[in-house]
Amino acid sequence: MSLKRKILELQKKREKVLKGGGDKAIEKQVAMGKMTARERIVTLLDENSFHEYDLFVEHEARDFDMDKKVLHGDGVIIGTGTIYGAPICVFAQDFTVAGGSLGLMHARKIGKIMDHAMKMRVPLIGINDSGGARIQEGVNSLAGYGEIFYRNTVASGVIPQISVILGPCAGGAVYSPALTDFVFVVDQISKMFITGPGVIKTVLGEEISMEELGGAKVHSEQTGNAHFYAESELECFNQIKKLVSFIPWNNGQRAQRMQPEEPDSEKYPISEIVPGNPKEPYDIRDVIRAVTDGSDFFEIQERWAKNAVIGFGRINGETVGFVGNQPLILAGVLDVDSSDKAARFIRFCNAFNIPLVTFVDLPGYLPGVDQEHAGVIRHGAKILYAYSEATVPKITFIIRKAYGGGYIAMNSRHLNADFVFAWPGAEIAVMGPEGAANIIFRKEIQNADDPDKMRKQKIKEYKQKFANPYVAAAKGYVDSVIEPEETRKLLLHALEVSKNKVDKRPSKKHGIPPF
Amino acid sequence: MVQKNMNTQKQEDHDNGGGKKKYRSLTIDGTRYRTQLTEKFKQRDKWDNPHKGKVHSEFPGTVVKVDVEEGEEIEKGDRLYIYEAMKMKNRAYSPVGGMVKEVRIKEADIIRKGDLLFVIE
Repeated sequence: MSLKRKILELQKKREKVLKGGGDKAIEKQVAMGKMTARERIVTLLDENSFHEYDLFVEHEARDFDMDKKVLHGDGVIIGTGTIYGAPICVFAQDFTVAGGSLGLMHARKIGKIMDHAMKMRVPLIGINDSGGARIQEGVNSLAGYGEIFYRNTVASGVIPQISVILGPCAGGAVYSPALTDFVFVVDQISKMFITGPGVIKTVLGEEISMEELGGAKVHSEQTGNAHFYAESELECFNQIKKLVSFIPWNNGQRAQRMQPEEPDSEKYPISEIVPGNPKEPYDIRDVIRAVTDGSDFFEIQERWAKNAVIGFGRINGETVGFVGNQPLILAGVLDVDSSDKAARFIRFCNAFNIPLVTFVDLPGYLPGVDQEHAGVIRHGAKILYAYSEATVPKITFIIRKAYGGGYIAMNSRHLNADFVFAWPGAEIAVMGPEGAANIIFRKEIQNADDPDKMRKQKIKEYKQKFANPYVAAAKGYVDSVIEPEETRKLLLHALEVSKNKVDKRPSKKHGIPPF
Repeated sequence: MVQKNMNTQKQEDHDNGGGKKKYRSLTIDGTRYRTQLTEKFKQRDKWDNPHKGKVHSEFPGTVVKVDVEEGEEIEKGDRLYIYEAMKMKNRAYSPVGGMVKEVRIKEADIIRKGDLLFVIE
């Protein structure tokens, strides 16, 4: 056979395999409103950057007549490409091939590209669209999942790992995304659950649809399993691209620097956003946008635990992780979910050399039996742990309220913040004036002729004496009391002088965070 | 320590953009904050003092056998029922002694976690 004919043969083979599960299965995929696995990869990555490997891999199962079945690529596509020039390793499960079910070779391909990502120290993106374990392959399927989870864990904190749920992801399969750093979901397409509606109906008699049980809204609003929600696959891919632009390729590098840009001070006039009265709400994201380059703030988990806000922005072209209390929602309290949300984000930033900037305005932890019984002690401790553990530059701005345990938790000096700035309206105190006055002056209030008048007077006294930034500034807990307009300037400076920060901790195998 | 009290009150307001935003108030340490509440917060489980004689199911499953009848005197630790869950037959015992006032399950019933099954007085 001449080389020319061999080339023709290769082309024919490729053409056949590239069709995945064939025209009919592709039609079905399209009818479900989904792109095919290859379309997804090509749309996500830079044009013409994708190169596929293991195209000709075939399964080796022999039981249950599986030897008669040809499953192209064994239901998963792996390869490398780029996003905005950043090298990426990617896999995408192909639902058109045996429902994207995971067999031994399928899992080996995923493991191979994961190993590759680790060797090359580049981000890994996994697109999940699979019916689950390939039952015919029995324990080999389970082995496959386990080997993926193990790799996810080893890679955690070394390379960024992104999971995209574009179809079902059920049973054990959900634990790979759960172990990765960011999970993306799309409305009506993503479905994640441990046990599906069928089993729930049999065991419990409860009828629920897949969407209601584990759809995109559920995971982005209720469970917190997902970090990004999109209405369409295209929107989802744009979110992924934007995320990739903010994060470094691995834990030995910094994120790519972009052209610096001034914030839009007309749209976000920093001195006018925050009401003087600490009981009045406002959107903390406007304060963040007032300081970031181009007023761009890329929020993470914007639909879940909204009383805390997390996300990326750039200062002078460099990526910064922002954490803020949100007075607009639940007065910005810390609770089980918001502590969890912030803590995980802080640990991501620390692992990937992204400086942390914290905006504080909270009345404390959320009181309530449900919170106590849901373990607010354990969950709340996560945020203390995460901030204390972080050795990246840590900069705090106390915007308004900083009371009690909330003050300590929000990257205070005491957790080893590098810079703590307070706005002149800051109230740094053991608790709010009303509560404090009621305790400290209980007797005076009780014994007064007019207890109400006395209470008001004592609250006023306490406010004047203690609800300000100067008591903390006098102890050096706050480095500087600043005008709101100076925030960006100081942020730029603090980041500039922290570039070579060294914070060596005792060596240990690993800490034991309260999770 | 002072008891942390918290209550919420209806309050409506308009945001600057002209859209309607519903504000409530949330009281923490005696201070009332104007803010929005989340669905999760609104639907949180209200605290209910547990009554030891009210026996709830511990786990979802199918009732295989009910061991007690209404009116029967039982002792703490007596077996109340057997249920099948997660491919196992599980046994549940009475946390208190007393008279069985109510039996709310029978064989083959499907029970959910937290269902009230027996009242013992």
